[in-house]
Amino acid sequence: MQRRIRVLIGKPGLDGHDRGAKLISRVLADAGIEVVYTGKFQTPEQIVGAAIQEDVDGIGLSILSGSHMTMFSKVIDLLKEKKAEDIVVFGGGIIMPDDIPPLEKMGVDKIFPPDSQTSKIVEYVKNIPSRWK
Amino acid sequence: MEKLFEGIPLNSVSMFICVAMSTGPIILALFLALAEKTGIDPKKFGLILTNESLMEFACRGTQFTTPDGHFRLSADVVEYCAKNYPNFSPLQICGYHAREAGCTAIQELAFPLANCIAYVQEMGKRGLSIDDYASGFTWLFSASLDLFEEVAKFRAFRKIWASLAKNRFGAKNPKTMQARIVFYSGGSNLTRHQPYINIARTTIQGLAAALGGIQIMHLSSYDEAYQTPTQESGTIAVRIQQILGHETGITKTIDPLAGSYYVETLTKQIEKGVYEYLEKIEKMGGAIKAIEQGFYQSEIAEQAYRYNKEMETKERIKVGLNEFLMDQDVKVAPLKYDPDAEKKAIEAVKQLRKARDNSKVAQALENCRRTLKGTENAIPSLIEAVKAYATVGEIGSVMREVYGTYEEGKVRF
Repeated sequence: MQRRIRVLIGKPGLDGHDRGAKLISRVLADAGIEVVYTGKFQTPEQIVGAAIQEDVDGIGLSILSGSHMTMFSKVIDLLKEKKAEDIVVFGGGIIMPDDIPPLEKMGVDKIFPPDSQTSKIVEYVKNIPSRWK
Repeated sequence: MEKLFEGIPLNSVSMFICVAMSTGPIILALFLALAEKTGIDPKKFGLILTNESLMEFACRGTQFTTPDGHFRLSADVVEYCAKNYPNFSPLQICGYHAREAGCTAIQELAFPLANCIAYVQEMGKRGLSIDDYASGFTWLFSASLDLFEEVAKFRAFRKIWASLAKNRFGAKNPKTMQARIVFYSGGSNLTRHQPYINIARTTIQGLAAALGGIQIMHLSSYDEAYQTPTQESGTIAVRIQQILGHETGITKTIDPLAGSYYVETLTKQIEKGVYEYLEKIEKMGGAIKAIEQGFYQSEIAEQAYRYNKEMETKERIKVGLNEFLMDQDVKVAPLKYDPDAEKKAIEAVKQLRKARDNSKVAQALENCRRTLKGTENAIPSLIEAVKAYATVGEIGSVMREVYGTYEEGKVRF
């Protein structure tokens, strides 16, 4: 029997808007994915620490504050440092189209901008094993 | 604060609106400290403070400390302004954030009303009657594109508030019963795809709000899903308001849709729904208990989930998003901001800490600490702290020391 996919949904920094993170968490869980939602005000260290502890397949960051370049970069660097690069990093929020290529170059596997259909996000997360290098 | 207002004397503007929920008490202190330093009488300008921090815990998430701590401080602001600056509006009770987080029109009214009841009860404990302070209150609401529901919602709200103020809390002053509504068009109704059509959306939201009976309007710019507004997009939003105000004639009559069989039916339905929620929250022990138990939060999340399902199944059509899509998307002009802004801000705080009298700061913060541990109104101690150039972060830390840190644990879905 196939092991269920596990993901951590995280809200880094001071961004207090969690409608998206909570919605995504629930929609993913509906589809049979195991989800741990960190809650708000997480540091990159806390997110990566929790991801490793929870032994997740992917980290999804929800960032509406505009600090995505910094936050994704810190999380990816920490995963490298902790030799946990097999954890796939994805996310969404208020992210301008022009920021997506540099984020992907940095190592973010997929960005879901505003208005992304939740069914597409579910499909993506279910296929995370195909993203493993 | 001084830098922000360089060249803008406080009495040169008739009214300041400050979106400051948890920071409300600190912002009040800053305005008063600045007024004193620049020799301006605070009775000569208006200030609308949000200051309603209970909603932070339900759906906004920028609190410093616990609900008890924030409630006490917000109440201190109301009391202090009632006694010293009745020209200030010390509380803006918000349904906006809950609506943006996903709740229904009925919940958007019920949750803030329940919060307001908590404040009125607290003011009663402090010996103030509702006429002493509540005519200064404002209310903040969003609006969806459901035109008639929104008109009915605002009408229902005006009726409910007037009735609560008069019949439950004994208001005698008609001004207390007259809700002052600030309307902020809900960005959650706008789309990232085909952004220019958002101009039509915000126009409809503005129209509904004006027909429903609001007093102050702010419309979102069409690029809301991308960034904070550019000069261009912000200007368009202002022009829409000017068109509504000057070209449509809708402001010439109060409550122009009164008597419409449909609007009156919707109004009654919403009123009923709101009273049902108020009763439910009352049975839970009031707003603070309901929030601590996660009641608002779960209701809001449930509605957000339902809304999303309706979009996925196309039970709800969103033009340009799940229907009438276009391949080519319009490129929105990006907002240019200073990439060194963060560095400069950090440097400015470092310089501040070097230049100020740190023993004075320590003394002032100790005084805040002592006051917060007691029951005396904390606003004077906050004024002394900001005058000594204590930072928002330092004051927030003192709040946390006294009242604790509010923590949400991990949630497993």
